[in-house]
Amino acid sequence: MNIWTPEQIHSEVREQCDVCVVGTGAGGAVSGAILAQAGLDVLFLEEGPMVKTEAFSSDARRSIPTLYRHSGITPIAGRRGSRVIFSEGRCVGGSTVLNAGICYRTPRHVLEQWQTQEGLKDFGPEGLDPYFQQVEQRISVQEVPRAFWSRDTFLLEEGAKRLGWHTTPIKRNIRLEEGAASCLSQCSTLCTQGCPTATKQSALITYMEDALAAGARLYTGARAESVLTEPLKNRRQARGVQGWIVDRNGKTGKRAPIPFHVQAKAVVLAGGAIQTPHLLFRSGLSTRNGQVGQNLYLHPNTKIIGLFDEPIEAWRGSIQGLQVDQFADEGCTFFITFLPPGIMAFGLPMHGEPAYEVMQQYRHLAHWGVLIEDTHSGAVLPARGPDPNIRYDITPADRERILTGIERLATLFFSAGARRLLLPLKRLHEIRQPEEVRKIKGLDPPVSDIDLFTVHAMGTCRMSASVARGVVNPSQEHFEVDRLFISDASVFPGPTRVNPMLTIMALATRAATNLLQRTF
Amino acid sequence: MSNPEKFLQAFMGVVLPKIPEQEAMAQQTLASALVMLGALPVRLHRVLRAAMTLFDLGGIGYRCGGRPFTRMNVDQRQRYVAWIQRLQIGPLLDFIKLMSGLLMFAFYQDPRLWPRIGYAIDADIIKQGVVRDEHLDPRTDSQ
Ligand SMILES: Cc1cc2nc3c(=O)[nH]c(=O)nc-3n(C[C@H](O)[C@H](O)[C@H](O)COP(=O)(O)OP(=O)(O)OC[C@H]3O[C@@H](n4cnc5c(N)ncnc54)[C@H](O)[C@@H]3O)c2cc1C
Repeated sequence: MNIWTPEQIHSEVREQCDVCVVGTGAGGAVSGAILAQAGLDVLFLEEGPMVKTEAFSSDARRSIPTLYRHSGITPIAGRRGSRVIFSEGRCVGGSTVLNAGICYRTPRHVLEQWQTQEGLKDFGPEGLDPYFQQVEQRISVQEVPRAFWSRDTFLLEEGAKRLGWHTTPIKRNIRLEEGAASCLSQCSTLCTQGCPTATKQSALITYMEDALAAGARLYTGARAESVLTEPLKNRRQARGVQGWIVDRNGKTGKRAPIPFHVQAKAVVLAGGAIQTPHLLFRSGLSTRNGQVGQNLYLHPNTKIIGLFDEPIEAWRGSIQGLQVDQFADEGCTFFITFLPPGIMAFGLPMHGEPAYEVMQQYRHLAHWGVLIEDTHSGAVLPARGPDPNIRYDITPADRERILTGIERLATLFFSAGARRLLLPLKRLHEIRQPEEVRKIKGLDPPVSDIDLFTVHAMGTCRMSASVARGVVNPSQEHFEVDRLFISDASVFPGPTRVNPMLTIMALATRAATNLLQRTF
Repeated sequence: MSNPEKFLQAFMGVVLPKIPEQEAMAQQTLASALVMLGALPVRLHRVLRAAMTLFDLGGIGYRCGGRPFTRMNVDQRQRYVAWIQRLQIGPLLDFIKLMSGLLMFAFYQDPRLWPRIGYAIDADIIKQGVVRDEHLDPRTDSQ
């Protein structure tokens, strides 16, 4: 038995290992698995609970507070009253347990930009190809068969075709074996609460299983509070991690909090792009160049609810099957998603009887979004309390992009046959005619009036060959602390433009493979 | 400070539709909304509690109510919320949206309501035993 839960722990924990990995999501699980399979003694610290496939619940009232940090509502504020709601996982497997499983390799031009800008020599497509291949094979990346498309995926395709807009089929990490048919046939409302049939190949059932099978140990409900270091000549070197055993809300409980201390030869931080810089600040390990926490990119997204005459039952079918990428070069991609009734109602622009009237037409609703490649970055700043201080402004250029995106999405909806649209704008809730689309920009809404969301935080501990620009070097080792590695979305030099999970996993594979060359 | 439970209970009458099932679902709706509220970031939680107090007390100065929001009758509460919405003050709109969002989330996620909106999880996936609800503990066992 190599998994410990808070219920089993009654007194201070003291452990030793070769490598201590903080976080078990896309980055952490991959790193830990590769290191454990190579024979290293790996110990994972995961703040959230371990919820196994057979325990995933279709009841979002239970699953969301259990599996998501802050019930999926972490507001990120910015100037001019802007607010982006960020959602991330807090469970074994991290956000990969909850995500839609869309798998894109980092676009070639993004890699080339990272290569030249940050001096990352092997970042050409050929350099990273083997790592992408390795991950794609392990998590079973493949195109979603049309047989599993939801009705609104076909409507999106038809709408785009009428407008002459280009679409691309989506690849997801899915295993099309037993249970898959029934799961994919209604995965839209289940997938983001943990796949109940193990069809989605999240880190929980792939890399974490590999790691545990190879002998890695896992503490759940264990929140790392600081990285322990010791002096090494004129630098520092990591020697472990300490923290607290926490409950399902990430709190230590009123009476006698239980501490843990892990002594390790190397530490890998993989808490995600918000928590990792927060942990570095709490450990007093910001870099002299002031780059820790900077360069936060979010890929903000916003959604429109469309009502169709025909019943769509959009929950029947794969959560994603197709994207409209006609305007990808302008930093704007359209996607499909559908939500369980409660989450759909949460996002409605009205309440009471008018909301009920919309919800009674749940079978006729489609929920499509636009994802924006941000041109400006925010920051995670030092904070005193348990939660990080996050700032992110929407620049006039990005606001323009978002509004153009909403206009185009509305056009796409009408082209697909929608008869009524509920908009993500505080002062314009609804339009019913294609001619009304121009009201969106005509209204000139301030950023504070636009409902924005994100599930793609990236880039707060930039990887660079330049000591002046980076937090970690090309081996993903902290520039000022030996044996402290970072392996999550925070190391990205910029936004990926596409969904980031595959990039995180490929970079984690590369970093762990490199780490194995080191002797401790 | 306003008690979040009392406040959400008062808000329920404003944001939920009047359907026969509402009364039977009220307790569970409130409990689930409180779980969501309890998990929000500490700083946001503090701000929300202060906002609840102000919102509640604001009712005293309101011409049709003249008493705290939590002590108005349902009609007065509805008119008070509609009046505040008409003021179009961004942070107040955000507050109302979040509070009503939490309650609507809890309400519409209740399977007892699903037949009314035509949502059903297919029997075959339930038959396979892949959708189970009893394993996750919804309690907040925290401070
Ligand atoms: C609803 C949703 C849908 C998404 N859809 C897609 C998609 O379709 N495709 C895609 O590519 N991406 C998607 N994403 C994003 C993607 O899942 C994330 O970008 C990715 O998982 C991030 O990987 P990570 O390793 O940086 O962090 P995570 O996977 O979030 O893992 C971080 C882990 O670290 C733990 N942790 C944090 N701090 C501490 C600490 N101090 N001590 C102990 N443990 C800690 C957390 O609890 C968490 O489990 C989605 C995300 C969400 C939430």
